[in-house]
Amino acid sequence: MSDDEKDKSAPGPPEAPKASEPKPSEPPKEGETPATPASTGTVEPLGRTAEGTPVAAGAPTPPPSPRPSPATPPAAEGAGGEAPAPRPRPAPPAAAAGEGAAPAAPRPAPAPRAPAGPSPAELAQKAEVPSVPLDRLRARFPEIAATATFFSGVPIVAVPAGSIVEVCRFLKDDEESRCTYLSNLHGTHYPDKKDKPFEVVYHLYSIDRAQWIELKIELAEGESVPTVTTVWKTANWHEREAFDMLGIDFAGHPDLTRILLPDDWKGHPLRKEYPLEGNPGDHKYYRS
Amino acid sequence: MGILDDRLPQSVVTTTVDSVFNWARRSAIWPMTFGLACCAIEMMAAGASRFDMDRFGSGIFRATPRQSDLMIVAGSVTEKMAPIIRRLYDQMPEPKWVISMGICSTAGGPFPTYSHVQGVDRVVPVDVYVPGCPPRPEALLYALMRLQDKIDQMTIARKSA
Amino acid sequence: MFQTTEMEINLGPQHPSTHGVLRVLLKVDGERILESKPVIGYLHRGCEKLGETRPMPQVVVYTDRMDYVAAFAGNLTYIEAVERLIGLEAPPRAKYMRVVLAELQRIASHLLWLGTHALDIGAMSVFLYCFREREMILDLFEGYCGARLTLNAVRIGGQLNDFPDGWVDEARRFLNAFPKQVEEYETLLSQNRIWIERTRGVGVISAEEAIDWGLSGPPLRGSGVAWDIRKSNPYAAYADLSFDVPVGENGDTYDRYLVRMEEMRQARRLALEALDKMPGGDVRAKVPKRLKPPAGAEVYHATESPRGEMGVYLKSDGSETAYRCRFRSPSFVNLQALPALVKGHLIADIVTLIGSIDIVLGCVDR
Repeated sequence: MSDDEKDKSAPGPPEAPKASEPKPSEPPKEGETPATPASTGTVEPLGRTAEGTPVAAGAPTPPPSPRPSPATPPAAEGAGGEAPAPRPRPAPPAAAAGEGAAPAAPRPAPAPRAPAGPSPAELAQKAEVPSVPLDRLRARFPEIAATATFFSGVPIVAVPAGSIVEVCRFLKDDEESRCTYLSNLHGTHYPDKKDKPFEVVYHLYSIDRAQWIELKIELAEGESVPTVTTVWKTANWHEREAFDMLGIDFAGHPDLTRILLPDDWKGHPLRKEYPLEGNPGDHKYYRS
Repeated sequence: MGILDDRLPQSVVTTTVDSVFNWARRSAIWPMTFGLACCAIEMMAAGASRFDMDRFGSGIFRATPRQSDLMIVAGSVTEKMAPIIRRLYDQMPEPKWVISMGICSTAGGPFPTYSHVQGVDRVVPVDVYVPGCPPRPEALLYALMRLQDKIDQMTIARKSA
Repeated sequence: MFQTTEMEINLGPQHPSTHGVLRVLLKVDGERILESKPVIGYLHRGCEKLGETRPMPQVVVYTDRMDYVAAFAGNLTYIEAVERLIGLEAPPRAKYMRVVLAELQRIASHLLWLGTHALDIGAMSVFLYCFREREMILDLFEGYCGARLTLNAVRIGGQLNDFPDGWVDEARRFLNAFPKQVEEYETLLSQNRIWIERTRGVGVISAEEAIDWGLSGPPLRGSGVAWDIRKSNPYAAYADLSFDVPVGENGDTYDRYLVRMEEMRQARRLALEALDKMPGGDVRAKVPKRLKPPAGAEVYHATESPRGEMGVYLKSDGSETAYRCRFRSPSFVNLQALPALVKGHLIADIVTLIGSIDIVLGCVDR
């Protein structure tokens, strides 16, 4: 980022990299005990269930007022958003110690690199968005919601392809969840996952309760997932786009045709093997 | 006009006739409403109160290509849209001109993707290119003035072999 | 005696009143529309694929060009999604600056909506009035970030620059003079009999159906559902600011028009309050030279753009380039409801309704 490149010869002393402490760049959360940060730099899966996250039960977002005003002298750090003037080369917080701490220092070997920012566990705990309570879902579909993960407060529930319609209908009709609004539906391609390379993601929202939940389905090549247009009408075009861009088949869709590309297009562009500039047959208009 | 065209060698008659016809043509270039993407908003701003394309005689945007002289291709041209652009260009009567507004229609812009035509001059012949993303309305007005200069070069005299 | 047959008419991609390259296939009986089918994709530029092949700081410029009428909204949504992904928070001054710019952008976007909507219905002079005010806002944007339309005015971690000298006074001057202009538009339109005839009762949609179709923003609020992401899931500095959310009753075009007019006033109120309450300090947090989001992390961040819920979904693989970048655009989802809205109305009403839903084709096709 341009910040770091600007002041190579800044007069002020560069801040000593504090490699040991995890450096949050947001204010200390009030009333929440941070979990032990798992600073390994990878996140998958977090394995936290609804009970494990103390803030999933509707804790309000911490108001920004308690953070120290940035007008305090620049030496106060740890509150994010300060850079003393003149700006010395700021060491990335708790990051790889060699990355820009001193201009001439050679890069040390990448020893355990803490992520630049709060650890994934802290991120998961910091419920910025209220989430749909999972206990009712778990009671109704015990095998499904047991493996919910969280990121940034939103529960991510893996659902088998066959039961997506029931789960969606349950979440829509249940009084606790009331997910009457389908916010987003899209697909992703993971060519590295050989057996189930496609993933369909649903983001549901409850307008009455202001709660989010995310559902995920994993699909094999050629496998089809039942359409949820019977649950929410808005899924129609989302599914058409997922079909157009990735080739995912939605069984029972009223009109599964291409929506963004011409009807005679070959290939599905958002697949990872599809080149950005397009295949040779795509561009029909060449300078003669 | 058709009677005189391309028959007479260059003479005082043709230059006088030229100046009259060219003055008439450049003072009333009626564009077609053909905004495709972001540049369309700046084209609308060029036609609106502050920049006022109408003082050049070009304020009347005709919806139909049959009544327009100028096609301002303002915005990204995609593979799906390109045959339609060609058809609209073919529907315009002569004399007709094309201004390619913005770098998306000039050269593909910031979109080197599978569905984006890298320049509308692959589809229709372009007279003036206006770079910018989006070009300011003043840039479009300058392009219009350059087109007027180009129109001034037109002649009805027979082109020498 | 006379027999009528149905006609299929193509409201082609080139049409003065479709706000971009939208094609609608109509099946009409005389003037009455029986069925309609929007065909989109004439502006599909592959922004999602670009989001997967360019590093995250570079993708911001594409968000300008998707919803090009409200470029700041796209910028802000993407930047805030990236900030959530990497766990970075902008300093308070940057958050307030973002509110000011976002609300100015909201006013500019609604002015363009009003001008083109009125122009479609036939009120040509409103177009020129609205652009007069919009030019003043674009001057403010130009003074701040150098660009009128494709702003790129947000950076990861905050803002690149503070407001230049005199900018805040200029902004205040505009915002203080703005209510008189809104009254001027209302004088022209709100009690105008032709306007009321053309908009009242056109395109009625109930609240349940609106939610089912996934509508958001003014089309949803015009039907009586008081959902505004700035209130329910506040981002930037909206949690500290007070404003009202206008809600309509009948769900027709006239109510959507009133909702947007009131939103302009509320946006002005928000911008003035944010300017008054703006704290001092730095405008950008310390951002690492290379972004390192946690591998496998994913975030979906939604904000309230002038058109509705604009969302960005980012899935990270640990590198600076997102593995999957999905733009949930409000216009794409809102446009889906067009066949339901227009059924039974006249051909002239489809033009009204396309304007009333307020779509931007760059946002629809991405």
